[in-house]
Amino acid sequence: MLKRVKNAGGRIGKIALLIFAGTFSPEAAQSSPAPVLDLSAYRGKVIYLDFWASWCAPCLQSFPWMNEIQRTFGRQGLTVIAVNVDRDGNMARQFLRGKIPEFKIVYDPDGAIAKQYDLKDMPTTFLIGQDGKIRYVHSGFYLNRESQYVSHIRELLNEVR
Amino acid sequence: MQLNSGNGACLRQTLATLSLGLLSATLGEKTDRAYAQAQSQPDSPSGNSGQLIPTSKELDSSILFYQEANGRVRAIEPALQYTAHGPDSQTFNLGVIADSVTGATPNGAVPSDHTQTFVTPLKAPGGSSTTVTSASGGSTVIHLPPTPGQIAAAALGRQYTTPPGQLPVDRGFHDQRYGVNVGYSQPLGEISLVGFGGSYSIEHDYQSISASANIAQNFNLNNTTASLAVNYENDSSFPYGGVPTPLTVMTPQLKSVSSRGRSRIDIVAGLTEAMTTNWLVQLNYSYGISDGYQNDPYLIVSVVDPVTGEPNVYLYENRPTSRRLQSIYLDSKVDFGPSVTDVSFRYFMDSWGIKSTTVQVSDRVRLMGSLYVEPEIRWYQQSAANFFHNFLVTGQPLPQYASADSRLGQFVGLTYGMKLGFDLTRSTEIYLRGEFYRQTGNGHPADAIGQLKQQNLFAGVDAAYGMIGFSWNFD
Amino acid sequence: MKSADMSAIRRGALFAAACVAANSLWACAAIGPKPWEKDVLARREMQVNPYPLQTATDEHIYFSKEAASGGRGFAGGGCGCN
Repeated sequence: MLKRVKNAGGRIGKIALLIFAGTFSPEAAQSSPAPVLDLSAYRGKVIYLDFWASWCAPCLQSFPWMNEIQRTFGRQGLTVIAVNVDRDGNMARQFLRGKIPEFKIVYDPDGAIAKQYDLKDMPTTFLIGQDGKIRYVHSGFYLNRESQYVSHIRELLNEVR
Repeated sequence: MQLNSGNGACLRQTLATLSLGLLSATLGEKTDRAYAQAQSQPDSPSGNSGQLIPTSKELDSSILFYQEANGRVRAIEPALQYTAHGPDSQTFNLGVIADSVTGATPNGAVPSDHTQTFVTPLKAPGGSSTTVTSASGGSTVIHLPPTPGQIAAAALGRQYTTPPGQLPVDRGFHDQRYGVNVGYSQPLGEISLVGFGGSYSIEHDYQSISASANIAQNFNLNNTTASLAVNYENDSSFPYGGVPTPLTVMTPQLKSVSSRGRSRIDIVAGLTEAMTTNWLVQLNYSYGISDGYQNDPYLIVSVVDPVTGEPNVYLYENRPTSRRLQSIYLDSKVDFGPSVTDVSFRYFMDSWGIKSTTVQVSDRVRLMGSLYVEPEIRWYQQSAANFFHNFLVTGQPLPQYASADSRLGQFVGLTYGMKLGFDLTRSTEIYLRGEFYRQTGNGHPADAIGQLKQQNLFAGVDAAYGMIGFSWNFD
Repeated sequence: MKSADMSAIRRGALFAAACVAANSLWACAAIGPKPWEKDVLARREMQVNPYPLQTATDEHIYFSKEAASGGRGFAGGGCGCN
């Protein structure tokens, strides 16, 4: 649900607290896991990080739309990254055969990235701003909420850094 | 004509199950079709906010061929169901079902070592004096002795006989039934699912209307679902010749009461749990109350001589007007990889003294590609209703309630069969099913008298049926 | 219905429901698959009622030949998407 903006804010708060606690606790600093998905190459861009699977119908419905927003907003700095969580990678590759996604696909068959982002739903999209922080979390994909999704993207793209 | 008491209510069960069952069918969509459908959406990032274009549609069809042994009931039942899913997880379904039934059905009387003759009201529409051919299952039209004040149309009756040593069955009927059901559900605010539905069915002598409402809530990252459904049903029975006065002598004369009805409310509370990545468990509790006319207006009970066991007279049956039912249902489905095993258990009890246990096991074995074969077995056992009697005895006090309907007696029912299915194309699926169903019961109860000791008093069913199913997912 | 039977069935139902409901407690939310692990549960054959017309036909036959009826549920399971 889009109202999970609060959630994202809360999560940032928790991460901030952990980092803060980490500076005072050498053990904590050692045990904080290195990010499984390295997004450092995309700092300064707005990242549309989407988790999908071949068995998830709403995920597949979002594919043409994700192509469209990558095409439309790519020049303005939007990067769509679709993380596939199929435990059987062949299912994903079978689905992608014959289709030409215009965005990057990352394979996460063991669910390590999904676990790190602590998905609560399928699909889930994390809108990461130019500052590298998670700004919006979209739980589920609804065809008739596309205008709301686009307004979030525009907002993050228009931020001045 | 009703095959058994409340046969029109079969349709209620069918239709209610359909409406409720399709709520859970939102989740089995084909992958490529979902993508292809999305491709055909208006190609704009602003989307189609507010429009209610179905994101997927499905048409399910099936046909049943049912046949009982010894010339008993034979039925063909085609069904069609349309389901549409909306962009905000809405589900709409509309279904129709038709039923054509012929054959013989036990009338409740016990066998005798002499020929038995039964006379019942004539089922010719309008009651004209044209003769009904005796080819209608061995019945003949007879002229009844006129009684004062009787109109001419009532002077005809239908007579059929049963040879010695055979279970008395009424052969002369043929009935069609039509039903329709509709349902709608969607999430509402914080509630995962809210829905309602209705159904209607009609046959020559029975009508059933029902309405239902349901609610479901997901917890634990959608691993736990709690649900509640309420169903209200109203049935009307308008048998040929009118509604007989219970426990009076069987007669072909027209009865003064033309119809009787009953109402029923059922509540089902359910808990579904995804235990692991490939294990689903379901637990349901059902409670129902039914009030009104519960009798089968065509069924009789033999009253036999206390020494010889020969039938003296036939009386129309009588059941209590009130019935309370409860059941507990547990289902476990595990996908082991090579096969999916489904085991279910149901315990049922009602205020008529009937207790039953049902165990069902099926194993869907994956063969090559989408081809699968699924053997299944079902074991069912029930105890008799406390007013069930194979027969009554002349001279003994007449009980308040009595029925010889084998459906209320003690028996064990075993079903075994096989299903075979595969995907015909990317968006269609077909399956074939063949089943055998046999009821076994005590045909020689200890209380059999005289000639009844030599007869088989069990009237249960021995049937085979086949089904063809076809599903089509489209946009 | 005998009151002893009714209380027995009630006790059994409550016990069984508690076993399944215990999974709903916050402390036990760790039990059960994660949202990204529901590929098997998403399959048609793992749904609560995968073939509604088949279920309806069976229920119809058994309703007309037996005294017991119904009992099945309708919601839950699946991929849990959206």
